[in-house]
Amino acid sequence: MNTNPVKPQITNLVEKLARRDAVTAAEAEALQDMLGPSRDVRFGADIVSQHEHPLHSTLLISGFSARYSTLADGSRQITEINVPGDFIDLHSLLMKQMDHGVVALSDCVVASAPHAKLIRLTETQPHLMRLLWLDTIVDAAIHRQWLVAMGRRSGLGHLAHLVCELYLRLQAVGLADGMRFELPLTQAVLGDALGLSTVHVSRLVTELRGEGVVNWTGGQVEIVNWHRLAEIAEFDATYLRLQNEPV
Amino acid sequence: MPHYYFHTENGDRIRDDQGEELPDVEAAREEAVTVLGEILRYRGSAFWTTGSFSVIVTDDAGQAVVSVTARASDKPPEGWKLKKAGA
Repeated sequence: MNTNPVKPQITNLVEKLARRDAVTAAEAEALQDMLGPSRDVRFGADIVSQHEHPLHSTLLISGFSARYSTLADGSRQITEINVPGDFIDLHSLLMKQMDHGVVALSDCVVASAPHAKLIRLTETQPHLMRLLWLDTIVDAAIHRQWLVAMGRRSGLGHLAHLVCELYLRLQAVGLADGMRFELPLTQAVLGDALGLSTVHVSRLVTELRGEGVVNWTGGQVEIVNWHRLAEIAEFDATYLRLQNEPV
Repeated sequence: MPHYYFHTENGDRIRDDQGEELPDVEAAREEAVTVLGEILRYRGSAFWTTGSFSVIVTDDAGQAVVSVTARASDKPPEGWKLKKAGA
């Protein structure tokens, strides 16, 4: 919903990229120039569908979305949760056909950049393109960490890891208020992200609350004890590459 | 769709007040055994302290419809015998 018309489309993306390396005014302008008008996507709708051949890549401006795959029995596995500032299918520039879909987990605002313009940027803005390349590399790093969590972490460690990750990613784009952030995801969605049943997720959330580590009510999460949460998660933030180092 | 609640019992009882909408009792069975497996997976040898873990499924009226139980023991199940190799 465009109730905040003042927020420029690239604010969160530039904030994230700038955590890793300086973004010049010319680079920010080049990013803004390639984006089309903002559009709303309703909760539950696909932003891009599996097997589609997009001719543009889409930037998530507000809301939450998820990469997912579904199996024949209807079960769904979420493979990454996207936060504002994520270029959700930047890889379709080179992958061409989508091997997975991206669904809106809340009402979202998105804007798209035509592939032709992105190709031109690879020639005119090499440093900016390296920053965008790095962002897709971080996506791959996130997938690796999710794979480790899915295969080897305890349920509680896995949930704690996801909370740590989402907090740092939201904080990197200026969407955390102190240790508090909005996370309007149902326990069924969390179950699809963690590969666990809704019943188990609900017990894990209760357990994390009971340990006094988080306050989690409705769509609001407050991390009360970051140190303890990171300990439960065995969290190592290296994979998010949030340090400033030239690319 | 009917609503099912998945309570667990392993010494202390955890009540499920939220429940889940599922198409039928067969789906509730599937969910019950999934929940049991997920929770037991990381119990480790501590499971021998409680010795038993159950998931009990109730319907909207609070009636138990199905349940599934896993047990840990130092003894084999009643009547179990290992046949000699090659026999």
